[in-house]
Amino acid sequence: MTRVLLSSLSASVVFTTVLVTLLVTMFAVPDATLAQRGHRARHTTEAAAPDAPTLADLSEITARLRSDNPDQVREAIDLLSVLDRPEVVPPLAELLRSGQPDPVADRALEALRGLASPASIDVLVEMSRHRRPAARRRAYLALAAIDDPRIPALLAQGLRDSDRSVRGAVALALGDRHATGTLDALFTAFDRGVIEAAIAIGKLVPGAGVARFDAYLGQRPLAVMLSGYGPLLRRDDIGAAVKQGVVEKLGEVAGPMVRSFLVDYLTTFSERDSSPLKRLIEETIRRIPAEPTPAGGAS
Amino acid sequence: MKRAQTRAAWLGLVTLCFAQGCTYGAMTGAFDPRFPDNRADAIAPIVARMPAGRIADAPSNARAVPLAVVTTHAEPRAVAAYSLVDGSTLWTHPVDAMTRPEILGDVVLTSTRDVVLALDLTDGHELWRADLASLAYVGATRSDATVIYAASVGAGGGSARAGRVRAVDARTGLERWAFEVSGVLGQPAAAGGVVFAPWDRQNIAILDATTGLEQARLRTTDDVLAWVESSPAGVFYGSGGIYHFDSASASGTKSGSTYHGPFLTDAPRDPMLFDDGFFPKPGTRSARGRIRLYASPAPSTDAGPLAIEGDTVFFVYYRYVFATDLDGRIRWARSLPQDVVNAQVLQTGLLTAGERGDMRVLDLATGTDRFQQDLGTEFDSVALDARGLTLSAAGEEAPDLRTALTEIAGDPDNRLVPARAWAIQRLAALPEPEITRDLLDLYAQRAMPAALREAITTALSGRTSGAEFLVAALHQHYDFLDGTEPPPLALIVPGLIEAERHDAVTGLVDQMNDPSTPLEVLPLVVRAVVSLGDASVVPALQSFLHLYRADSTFTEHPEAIAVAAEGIFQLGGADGRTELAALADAHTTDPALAQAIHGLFEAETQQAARHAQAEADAAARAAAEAAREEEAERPMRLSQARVDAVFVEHADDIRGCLEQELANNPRLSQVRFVFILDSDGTPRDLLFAPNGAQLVACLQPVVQALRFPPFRSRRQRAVYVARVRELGGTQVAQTTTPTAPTVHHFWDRAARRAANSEVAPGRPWWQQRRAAAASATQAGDTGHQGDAGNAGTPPEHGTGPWWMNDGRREGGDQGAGDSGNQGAGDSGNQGAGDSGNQGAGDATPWWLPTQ
Repeated sequence: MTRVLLSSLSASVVFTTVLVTLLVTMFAVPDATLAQRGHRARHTTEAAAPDAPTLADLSEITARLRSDNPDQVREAIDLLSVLDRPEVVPPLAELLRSGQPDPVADRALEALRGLASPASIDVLVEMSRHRRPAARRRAYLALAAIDDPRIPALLAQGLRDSDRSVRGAVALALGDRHATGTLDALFTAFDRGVIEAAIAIGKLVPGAGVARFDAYLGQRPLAVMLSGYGPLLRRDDIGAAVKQGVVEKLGEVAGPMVRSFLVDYLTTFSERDSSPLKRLIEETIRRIPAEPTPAGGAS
Repeated sequence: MKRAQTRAAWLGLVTLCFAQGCTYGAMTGAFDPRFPDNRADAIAPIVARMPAGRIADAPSNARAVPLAVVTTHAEPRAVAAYSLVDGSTLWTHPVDAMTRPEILGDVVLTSTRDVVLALDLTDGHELWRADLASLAYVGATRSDATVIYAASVGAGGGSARAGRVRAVDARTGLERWAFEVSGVLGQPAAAGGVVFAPWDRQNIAILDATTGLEQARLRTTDDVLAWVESSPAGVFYGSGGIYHFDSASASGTKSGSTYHGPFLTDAPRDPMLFDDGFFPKPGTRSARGRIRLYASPAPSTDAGPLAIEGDTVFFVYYRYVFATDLDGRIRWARSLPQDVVNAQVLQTGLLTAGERGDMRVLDLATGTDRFQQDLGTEFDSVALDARGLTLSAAGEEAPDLRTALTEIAGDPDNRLVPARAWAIQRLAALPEPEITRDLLDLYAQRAMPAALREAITTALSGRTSGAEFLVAALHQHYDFLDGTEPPPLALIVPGLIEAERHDAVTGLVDQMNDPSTPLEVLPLVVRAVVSLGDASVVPALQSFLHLYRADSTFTEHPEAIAVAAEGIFQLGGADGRTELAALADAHTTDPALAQAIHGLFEAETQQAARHAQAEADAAARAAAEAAREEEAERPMRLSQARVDAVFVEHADDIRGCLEQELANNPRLSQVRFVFILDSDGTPRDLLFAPNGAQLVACLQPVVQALRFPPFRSRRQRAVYVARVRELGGTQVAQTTTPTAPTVHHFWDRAARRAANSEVAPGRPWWQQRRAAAASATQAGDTGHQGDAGNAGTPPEHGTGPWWMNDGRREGGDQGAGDSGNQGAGDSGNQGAGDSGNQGAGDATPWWLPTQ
């Protein structure tokens, strides 16, 4: 009887673990979005506090957006952010379209980023064509925060932007969003010098496509390549053989930067791990001198 | 005897002088500065010696084979001869030649630093050499068995100017004659047994080829010389233009000679038709000679127009070859694989020699290859003698001119920018609309030099077709991934405005909203949206203006948003203006923008005020003009008929007064009105005769109220006589109706005066006046007839008031030239039937007729 109960309990534990794992995986969200929602959750919690604005205060807060006092305008934006409801998007959109000084416009864009509401897509697309690069960058980042199937294609337009900072921010955002459909555009951008695309490529490239990224080894600065290899090697969907190939290539390059990179990567392995990959990493680290060899050979 | 001997000696000396050709005194054989020039009688025999011009159809060298003689590039350097028939090497002679070889019959001439060298054409062995004595070899010619060459210094300036022309046996180098010249000599040319030696860039000494003696001289008086060339077609000379040597050459002027002006004057680097004969033709690799015109003068009759073979001029710029008509219209263009070192015009095309041995003939009409051969060697200079070269038929279809010019313009070789700019200019002159797109594509090339972008901008501004491609170009935008640049809006937009392409508005709005549109060109784009658009663009302008009204993007350069505001002001109607006013007053709006908006309103107000002022000024001017016209239509003076008409018009007003007077004075027959009229027609200084108080009191206001027509004189004296009763005694008060003036001779007046006056007829006028004064004194103010001169207080001296008298001047009414009051037909003083005016005291002189 006890045995039966213990077996049942074990099975229940296993089942629950598996179930929880599955549930966590199913509802996992990008880090950025999680951060945003955490922010909103905190504010939602705070909204329960007596001073937090409610939807009933929307019209009054909206009126303050038209104030001559810029501090009042900023405060109104912040209050709308706290409201965290789709209803605040139209007044913020109107504020942006009416033309505001840079700090106010940027604050409104940040607020929309926090809201991450699909209702703000239209105004953010408009703002993504603003003449000021900082405004465009904020608009793209706000788009990146929105969970909507249109977003990856809209974000990818940012890779065509004339401003370097916009292209870089968009490349990072695409990687964060796991926008695998934009991989070709990211490779083109990387080829044309968008170094941030390396990180995104590292996050998105499938195992079969790693060779395409490897082709840039020696053509691009090593630090840039390592910024892509980092996330690549940490991905679970990349097979060990591919990772070993990467480590071998890096071993051929050698150098203190590679050594430092591999040492850092090694820390992600558990002590009990005895996989061929880990052994390869250790061996490669051993082969690469810790310090540059003095001229004239080792003493 | 002694005297006879002396005479004989002098006679002999004179004879000797003539025999020695001392016609010109003690001059040397040639190049004497005292030698007369431009003598028609000296030129004519030379012209007669010239062989008849013909088109050369065979090589002129002794081997009668189309060939090329080159100076090689590779070490060790050499002079080499090649057959163009099969490309075979005929011979090679090692020498570090400094000048381009010259093929002269059976010899080849070249030079090193110190010597001129003659090689046998057959096998290249050296025939002879001659020291240049520190002079630079400039070139040679041949006349039969004689080679004549020149060497000189000073062509490039400097104090040293010296030259030497030397005639030697072609095979042995033995000197036949020579001249030292203290001037700069150029390469000579020979024909018809004479040598044409250019010197000091203005003269051509024509020497006998055998003796060297100067036979004639040409001197250009309005041009400079750079070369003399002889060919089977004739002898030609010139610089940029080309002269034919014939009898007209004696004029020494362009207009008097057989002359054609320079070809392709717009070609870059001012290429010449022939090499400058005063400079050596370099035998080493040099840029000189890579930019040249090539044309072959054709035979022409004496005094006939100068002709060019094939009516074609070739322009060679390194490896670009262009063929044009004589008027400069481009026919075809080619970009060859190698720089052209030299070329020769053949009957059916142009033989080009590439610096790495590529020899090809380009067809005269199409530019296609008619001949191609690779000599397989690199050379620095080449002499060509290839007339009669066998050519293939015109081959594959040549690329069309548009394609060829576009390729040349887009050639990445930045050595050749001037020629590429010229190609762009010629491309833009073609009519095909697609060329506008070609030019835009060229402009968009990243490697396009700034000078060529400028050439494209100039070229596009002159085009009248292809505007649809400008519109299409607006759809291009910057794309980092695709590598596309924004369109050249500074280039496109003015053309769109000029062409009034309203279909470009959509594209312009897109460019206005494109963040990659450069800030410096954005005002132009917005301006185009406003000028080409209508009210439908207002929403786009409003969005643009609102979005950036407070943004830092336009803080330093607010022009673009100011133009957008202006567009809303013009096209947005009342709502737009209301919105702008609110925007200007908003505290967040950029101050510069707010100021610009306020300025729009102020400008409109000022414009309206100026317009109103202008209208008022115009109305005032019109009124003044009307007044001037009206015044111009006024008569200088009013005629008696006009005066009378006014009185007739107011007859009823006057009649009452006259009837009243008539009742008091039954004898009253007339009343005389005398007054001054101002130019506006206002009467004053009224006098009446009779001048009874009652009558005057009655008439004064009536007459004073009359208004006469205005006239131009300042004032005039007017008289009106109102007849009170008819002739025959019937007492009727009536005003005198103006009738046609009646001329009365003075004897008639005298008779009438005698009938009506106390003064006997025939008395002198001065006595009559005295009598009038006396009678006036006696009668007092009774209105006695005829006493018109005594209205009011009797005059002291019996002469009466001035207006009653004659000849006295007042305000232009009296005196000499006063046509209103004096002289025959004076309508201002007399009235019809004015019998009451005659007699003593009559204001009008008796000798004047009455009306």
